[in-house]
Amino acid sequence: MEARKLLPALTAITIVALLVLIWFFPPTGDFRAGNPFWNGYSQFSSSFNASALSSMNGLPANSSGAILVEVPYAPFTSGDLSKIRQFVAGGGTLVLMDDYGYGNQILEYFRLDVSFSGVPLIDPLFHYKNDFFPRISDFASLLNLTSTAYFAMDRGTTLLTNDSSGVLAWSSSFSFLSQDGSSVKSADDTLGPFPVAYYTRIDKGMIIAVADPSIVINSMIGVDSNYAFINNVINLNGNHVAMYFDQSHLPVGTLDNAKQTLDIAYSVASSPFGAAAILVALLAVSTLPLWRKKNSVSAGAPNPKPRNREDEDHDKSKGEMNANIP
Amino acid sequence: MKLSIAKFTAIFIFLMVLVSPLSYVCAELQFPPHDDPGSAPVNVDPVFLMNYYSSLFQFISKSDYSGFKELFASNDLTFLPASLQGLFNSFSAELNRANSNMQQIDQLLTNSSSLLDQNRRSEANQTLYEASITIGGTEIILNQLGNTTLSIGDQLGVTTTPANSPSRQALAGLQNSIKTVQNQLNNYLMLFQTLMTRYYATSDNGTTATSIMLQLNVSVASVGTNVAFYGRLTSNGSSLPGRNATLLLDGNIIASAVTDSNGSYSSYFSVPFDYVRQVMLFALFIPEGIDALDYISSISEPVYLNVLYKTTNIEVNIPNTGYPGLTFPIQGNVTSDNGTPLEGRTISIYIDNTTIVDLYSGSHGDFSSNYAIPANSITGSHQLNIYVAPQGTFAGTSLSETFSIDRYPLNLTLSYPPTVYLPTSFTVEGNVSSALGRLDNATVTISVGNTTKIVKTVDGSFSATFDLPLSPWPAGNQLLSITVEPAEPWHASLEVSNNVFVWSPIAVTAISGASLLIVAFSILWIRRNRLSRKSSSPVEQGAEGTVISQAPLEPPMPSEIPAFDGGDLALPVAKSIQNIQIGLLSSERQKVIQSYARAWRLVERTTGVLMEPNTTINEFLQIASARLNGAKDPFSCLTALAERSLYSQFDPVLEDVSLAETYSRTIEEAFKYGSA
Repeated sequence: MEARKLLPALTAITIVALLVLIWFFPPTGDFRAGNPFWNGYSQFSSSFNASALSSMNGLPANSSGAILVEVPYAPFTSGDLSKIRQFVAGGGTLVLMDDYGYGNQILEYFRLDVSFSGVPLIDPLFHYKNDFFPRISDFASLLNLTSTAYFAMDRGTTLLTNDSSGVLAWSSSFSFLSQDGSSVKSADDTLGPFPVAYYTRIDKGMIIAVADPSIVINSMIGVDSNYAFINNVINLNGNHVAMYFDQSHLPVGTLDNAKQTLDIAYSVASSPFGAAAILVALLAVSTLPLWRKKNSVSAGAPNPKPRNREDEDHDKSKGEMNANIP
Repeated sequence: MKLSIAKFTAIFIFLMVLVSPLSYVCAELQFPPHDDPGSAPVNVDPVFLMNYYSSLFQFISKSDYSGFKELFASNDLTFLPASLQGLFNSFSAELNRANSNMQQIDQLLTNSSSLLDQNRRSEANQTLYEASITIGGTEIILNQLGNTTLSIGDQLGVTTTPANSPSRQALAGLQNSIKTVQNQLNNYLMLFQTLMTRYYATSDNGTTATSIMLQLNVSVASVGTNVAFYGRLTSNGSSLPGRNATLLLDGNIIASAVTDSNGSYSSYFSVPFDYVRQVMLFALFIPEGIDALDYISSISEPVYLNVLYKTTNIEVNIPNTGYPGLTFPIQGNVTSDNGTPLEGRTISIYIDNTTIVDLYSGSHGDFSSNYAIPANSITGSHQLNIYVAPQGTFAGTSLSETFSIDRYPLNLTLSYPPTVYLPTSFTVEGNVSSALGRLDNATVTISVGNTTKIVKTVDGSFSATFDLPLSPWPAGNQLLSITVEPAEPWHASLEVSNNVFVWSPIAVTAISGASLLIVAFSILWIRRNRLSRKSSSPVEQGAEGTVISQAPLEPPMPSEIPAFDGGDLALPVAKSIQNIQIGLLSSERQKVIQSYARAWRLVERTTGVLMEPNTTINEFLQIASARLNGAKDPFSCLTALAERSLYSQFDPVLEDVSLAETYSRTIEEAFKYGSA
């Protein structure tokens, strides 16, 4: 095959292979329910049979006994916030797991006396692996955890509240808030204990704020009592009947972007209009050579630019013959 | 530049390999607000670690033993690398022992002081002895802990840091806190010595020993009955009248009596309803008032009393499984050892340690209760405990049984067409039942594709109709999922999913038609390409100016011969066609040449002899004639007519045109049927 034909063929094959790879390769984005890697939520969502939502429109009309897990890494629209309010008012439980995202937008919307500090929590003594993995062992009795239970955070933050009755878990007295994000305590850094989990009841529902969404990523959910903690947190308002996990406010990576684009393309192609357009395009492409040939004949003009030497020789011999024709 | 396939492929693969890491980086995440714990470095902060241990020692030095325990409970929360775990584990264990010992010393010394206050010298002596041993052991532990701090400093790399570094200061703080505990131990030691001094001072104070004896009138008694006790209190053989003798039963005071003029005492006590087979009794004399200056307390030898009581038996009958929202029958009997029914016994029934009912046994010792299992009960194993309170001479008893709470599984029968033609109305019908019968008012959620309908069952039956619109896709499986949420809590919910084969005849027709068109055009395109390749490739050089193809020669069907368009003809005829189109030739010439062209093309295809650009049509006739068979003569005549039309200055007449068309048809028939 000539190089000029091989190049487009290989390019087309590569593009198709890349599209297939993007389609079938699991998502790698942080906290994604389908992400089976260390930073994903696949174990969490399969353990609790959570339904991943691509938009807030997927929330059920009857939210009684349902759980909505929110990792707010993107701002919320007023429509989103309204839907969350309806969900909570209907008896649902919102588990807001945030550290440096947009969780305060929701808490402010509900006018709650609690907010995420957004400052990294460091515990140089009671930690897992290193200072950025503080271990939490001081729980409210409401959580019904055993006295030996403790869970580990992963670069989490703390909560700011004056309502200590709603605090579910505290960091240790050795922990501190690192204003500069380093593990070395400076004079400006305040010492713990700090609240890291909080709950409050709203209407028939409940809002639970946890100051680190990373406690249940695949690489952390099996560490210490992390699973037991989140299990008891989720069932704080009684045994849940269904769990929803909002993925529309998660951080979006390049691969996630590509997958979303493919999804959109797929949905367009699935529509009658898209299918018809594909059909027409296929027909047009397959008949293109015929159209091209007919056009050149009807115009009566020879190919103005010989493609190679053979073509040039051919045309030249034609010219010689023309001279014989009266 | 000409590029071979091999070179091009090599360059392509090289470029792909070069670009692949880039694509990986592009798909990788931005910096996330968490670390992968699998690759996170292990870090121990020596300052905080040593400060933590210092805090623990400070709790001990302040005799805040509960504070120590609270903080020490967090010891497991410290993360230590394997190289440090052995050292710190033993350090923590010794520290915990030191705390226990210090608490024990505190308690022993307090008890000793109290015993000395009561002139119970011998007991005080024993307690002080235990305290002395514990103090000695604790001193050794504290010394070991002090020595271990040096190893800790080495292991944490503290000793290599400057003297004024925070870690060195923390190490010094730890060592100082151990010293404060040692000071506290010294304080206990001083208190011990003080108590010992008191002990010896008491014995040297002119006080005299006393002796008290105890006897019972029986060695066996039933619970609740009165038993007489008596004895004598003396001091150096002399009676001690008017003193108080206290009776202890298993360490608790249950009675007392005053000695008479002979130092004898006697009284009664009621055997407590403890339902134990044997109890131990002591008589105790504690000098009071002025006696405390003269006498030492005394305690008798133990006296044992065997206790009689009757046992209670209980039998219970419960189902193995209960259902939320339904009653759970509990029935049983209470009897004595010999099988006599026991009436009026108090029975408490617990499920998972929560009281559900208190009741009394009937005249036949029977009892029963119907427990309504809460609708929100968790399914699984549960425990039933029944306690029968003791009554009179009958001891109490208890029984524990395990049962499970479950929900009745549902049976769902479905009826729906396995294949659906679009567009259509699709009806799903079904029946829901359980072991208890058909379900009424259950919520059935039916989803077909993206459409969901919710219906309620009536006498177990339900039905839902979906209007499935036309789909662009020809055929495929649609997911039919059905969820049944029963109204009754004793029924389990059910979720089933099946595939329905859906196909759209219109879409199938459209796509099939389009596919056929594509295939037809493709075949046509490929054949044309193949033909043009044949004409341009010098496969076999024939006579001068001609090419003889080696492709198998098969006469084409006349219907396969397309209309002459001049597009791929050799030059003379093509040029003539151009002239025809621009109107240079007369209509008669055009018609003759068109007839020739049609026949000439047929000859080329049939014989495989292709006309080269520099070949005249007469030369072509000469070369191809060997393969023309029956078509040779008409083609010769047609060639002559075409030559004349091309080169003669006179236009052909209508007869020539008619002849040319006749020759062309004759040639066509000759190739088709083998003869003209």
